[in-house]
Amino acid sequence: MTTLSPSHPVRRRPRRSYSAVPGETPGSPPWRAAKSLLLLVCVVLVLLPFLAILSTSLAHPDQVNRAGGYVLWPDHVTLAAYRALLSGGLVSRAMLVSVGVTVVGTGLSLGCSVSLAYGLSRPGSLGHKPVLMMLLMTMLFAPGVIPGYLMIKELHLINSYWSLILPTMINAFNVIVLRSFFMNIPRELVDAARIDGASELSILCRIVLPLSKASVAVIGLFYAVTYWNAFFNALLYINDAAKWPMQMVLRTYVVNNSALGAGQVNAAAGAPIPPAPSLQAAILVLSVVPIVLIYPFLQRHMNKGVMVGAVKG
Amino acid sequence: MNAPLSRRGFLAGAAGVAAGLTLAGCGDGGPAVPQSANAHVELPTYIPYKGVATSMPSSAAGITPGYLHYPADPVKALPDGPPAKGPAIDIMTLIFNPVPPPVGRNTMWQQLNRTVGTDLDFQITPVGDYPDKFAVTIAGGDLPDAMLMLLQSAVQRPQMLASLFQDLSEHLSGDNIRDYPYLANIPTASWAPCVANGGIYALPMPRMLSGGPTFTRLDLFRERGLDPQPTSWKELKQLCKDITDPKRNQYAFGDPITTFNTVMQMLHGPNQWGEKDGRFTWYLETEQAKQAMDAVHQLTRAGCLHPDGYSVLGKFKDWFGGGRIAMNPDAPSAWNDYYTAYASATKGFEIGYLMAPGFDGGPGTQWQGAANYAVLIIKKAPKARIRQILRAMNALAAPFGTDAYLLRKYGVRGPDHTLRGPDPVLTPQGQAEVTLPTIFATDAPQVLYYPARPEIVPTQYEFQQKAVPLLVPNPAEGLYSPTDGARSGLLQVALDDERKGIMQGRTPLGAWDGIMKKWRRDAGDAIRAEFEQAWEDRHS
Amino acid sequence: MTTLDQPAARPEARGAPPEKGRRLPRPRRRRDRALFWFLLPGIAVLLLFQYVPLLGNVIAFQDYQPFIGIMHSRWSGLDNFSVLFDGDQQFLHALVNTLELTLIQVVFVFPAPILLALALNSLVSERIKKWVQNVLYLPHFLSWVVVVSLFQQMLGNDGLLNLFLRAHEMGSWNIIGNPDLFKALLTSQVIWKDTGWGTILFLAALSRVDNDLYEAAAADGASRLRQTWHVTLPALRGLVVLLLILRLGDALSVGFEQILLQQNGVGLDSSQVLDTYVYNNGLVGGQWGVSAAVGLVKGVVGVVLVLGANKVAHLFGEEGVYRS
Repeated sequence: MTTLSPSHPVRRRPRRSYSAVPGETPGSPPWRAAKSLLLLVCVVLVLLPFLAILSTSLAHPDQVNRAGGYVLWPDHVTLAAYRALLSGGLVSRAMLVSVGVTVVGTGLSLGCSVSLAYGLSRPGSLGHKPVLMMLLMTMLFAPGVIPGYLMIKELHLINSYWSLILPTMINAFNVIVLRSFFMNIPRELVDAARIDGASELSILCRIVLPLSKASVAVIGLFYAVTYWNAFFNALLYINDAAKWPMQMVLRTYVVNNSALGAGQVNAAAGAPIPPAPSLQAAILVLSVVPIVLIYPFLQRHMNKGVMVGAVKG
Repeated sequence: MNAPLSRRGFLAGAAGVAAGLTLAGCGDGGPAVPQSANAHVELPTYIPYKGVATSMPSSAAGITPGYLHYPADPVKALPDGPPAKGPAIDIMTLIFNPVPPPVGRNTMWQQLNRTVGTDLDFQITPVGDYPDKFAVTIAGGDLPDAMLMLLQSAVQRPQMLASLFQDLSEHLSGDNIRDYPYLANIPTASWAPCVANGGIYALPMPRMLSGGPTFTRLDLFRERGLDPQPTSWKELKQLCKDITDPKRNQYAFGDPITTFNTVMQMLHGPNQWGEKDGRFTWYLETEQAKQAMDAVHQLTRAGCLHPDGYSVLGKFKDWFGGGRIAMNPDAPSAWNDYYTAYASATKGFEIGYLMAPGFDGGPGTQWQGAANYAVLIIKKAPKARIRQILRAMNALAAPFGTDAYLLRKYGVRGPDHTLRGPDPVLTPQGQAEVTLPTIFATDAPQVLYYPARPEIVPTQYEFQQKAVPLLVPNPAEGLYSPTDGARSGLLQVALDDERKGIMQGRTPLGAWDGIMKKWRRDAGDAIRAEFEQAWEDRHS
Repeated sequence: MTTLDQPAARPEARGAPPEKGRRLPRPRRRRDRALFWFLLPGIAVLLLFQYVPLLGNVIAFQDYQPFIGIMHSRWSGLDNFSVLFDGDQQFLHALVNTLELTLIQVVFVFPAPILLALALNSLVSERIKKWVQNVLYLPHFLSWVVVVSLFQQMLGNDGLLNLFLRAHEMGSWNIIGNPDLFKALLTSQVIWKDTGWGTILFLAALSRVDNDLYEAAAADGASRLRQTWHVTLPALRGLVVLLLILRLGDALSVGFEQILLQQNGVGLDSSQVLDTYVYNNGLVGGQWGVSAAVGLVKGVVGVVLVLGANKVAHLFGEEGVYRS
């Protein structure tokens, strides 16, 4: 956190002239100080609750019970909660399922979406408008829960991991955003390639995709996070708890005992006690860490975007 | 790669859904059987299991028996070997806890399958999501062999049962139940809600009839030299003020709704519904309800309710366990759970109970608990298969004192529990494994037993003895009202909001009459008429 | 990734000989025909998993019972829509609250990630920038249940803030469970949770801005503010308009789960939104037809808003979602 001190950027100043990173020239010192302070406050506001979650996961249950929930700093660090979670085999299995679904799903989604977005990137092409409208409508009208279930059942995908991928494979928002990035690629580059006799596929692979690394990475991240965070399809389509993804397991720890869970059941009928908050916090940490690790990795592609001659609004 | 797959899939799928949408249909809901037929259903004969002697016996009126220790030599529940050999049985049910390890890594589950004689495939859904899962499963038409049905949220229950699920009367009615001795050990009160369409359509998941007390943190009261058994509203209010100490972050009550229920029991108010000569009255439309709201409002104004009590849900147990609140009305089964979860964090942690006193002195009442958590319904199947399933469920209902009960609740000796004297103590592995929700398939009648601290059992039994004579039943339990099934949920949300508004002081008490008038108009009178009709049918 | 496209694209690549040197509109049209192959996998998935199940929304006009099925459930005309149109006081409250929240969120939540992205973009140190980004996008991964309980524990009457205030004799501040602050609370939660996440897209867009532009502007003596105004913002404009239009399509949906979790204690009058109203009125009682009906109405409203906003965008010379 000390690296955030306002003086730091100044020291780095000489580097930026040959950095390929786009950016504005730094402003006056008071301006920079104010900005750094603001960002510092934001960072603290975000980190504090996360610190609480992490501390709670490491604290002894007794301390957590006395505090009545999250603790800010553990008196004694214990890994008991993590050991308890990982001993049953269910959590590690769920982690594998989530990783698998996320990797395969993101790959398929990106392939399909890039293809679709590229196919829609030139107004006036065959099927352009109806397909675009078709895509847009899926954002506005949601298929019902029950018809969706019937579809999956008829395809014999109940209890299959494909049921966690196929229904959410195309996200209209992502495709439309990707398309708008593709459309911003200077037309001249595409036309030039075409004049050289390049096929559409090679234009996509050799010109459009390399120029869109940042946006494809972002959309990939969006898909990955959607797959990672999804639980509802698993709830409906996966009967065997051994095949649950992480978010479903998390749900039994966290949501069951919240207002959402309790609201629908007769509370007087003898509900067992909720699991200790330290267990809840520990599974929360386990479910967040893997996906959070993706972004720093992707940032490489995002922040060093390829220069494009002129970018139109 | 995916493109050809999708195209092929599309053709299959388009045809499939067309078929699927029809396939789910099962006629027009089956024949409508008049509810009056339910009056003539012969309920299973009650044949109590006489296994383990105790100084704290059960009673016909509904006292739950208590046991200090497990018998050193548990009775063999299934002396003739595995009773339900045959194909696997899918059981769709819910869970409150985190899910147990899968069967491949779950010693207790494997052993359970061995003793029952078949694979019990539990399909587990988190409790809050169960209604969704239930609905899509019914709509899909591909039913598991047995599934849990929540009584309060099943719309068009009789028609659904008639068209998709098995009438079990020929197996269970009257003396037929002798084939399933452990199911016969379930008291009659728990069987009554299993009746529909003139037959027995479900297996019970019996729970304690006593309902729960207002739990008290005795250690906190003792610390201040207070007597936690007030004898009137005036004394209770004073007690609340005395125990409240904002500086120490300590308050009397947390949940305004359960506090309201406690006051209602002091006022002898009806338990959900009151019945007199076949006429039904809803508890919130009574004078007592207004008085109770006013009482809770007084407590709120005096600062005796936890300041987040109105805005935070699902924290009351934690508050009570952590000493933020000194009293919490809860289900009877919470008693053991409080000790398990919270006792180690606080020195001298001790839980007592408060019987609701009469509002102006004298005895109060005790609302009877629901006789079942939910019920288990079984998919239509040939007779032999139904028998196999019933034998399996019979095994899951083996009572306290048997080896099968010990296995269900405490797993396998060694990996899941160790013995301290005759009593099992769960290992960490056991704690994870025994959350397998057999309790949400069917169960033996509950007992008072807490091997970690046998000394609390006599207190629990004492509460049973005091509570059962004061029980006020809910006359609508087990009756079916279509309007209630469809609309009570929505009404509940709005009414709870208004009720909390009055208790909190957001809304004047005078508004309540108008709110009740609207409720009667919207649905209340229809629900009332349907319950009255159902009651008359049942008692004719 | 690319292998996915090959079966679709190859026939075209062989079939049509490249046309050299001529850039007339007609051959180009024919050329663009090849793009159609790229749409096929997407169309297949959309039809199968969106459009066929979408047909199931006919239950909006039925007294749908899962055990009877769509083919045999009783037709009920517009009964399911009555929940929307019977002028119930609660419904009107819900509608007003929804629109208010949408407006508040468009004004306060929508620009937040843009501002943050601008601030991050102007950071000089690449390392700090990455660091800050990595931290700020974390909350997106917490479910609402967790976010709500965190907020309650920090800001509740029994929470850290009030314990601190009380310990220092500064009274207390009722935030959670205060009807007057409810919308502000919701908004701040959304900002806390999703602002960092929202910057990702904008930063990606900014990464394409040519550094020379800034240097040229600086050489011309443009101040920082002017650089932002003339270089950075224009690079984002198209994206911002696009996102705004898409956000309007969701105008009638605001934070369902977030609100449902916190309705207690503030009263339905100030907390009920359309989605919670439908949930409380329909789904609790298993009325699937009602929720389908409301979904349809919301969809139609969304279509109108999106198409309308798109038109407006065109008037201002923006691309919008599509161009007719």
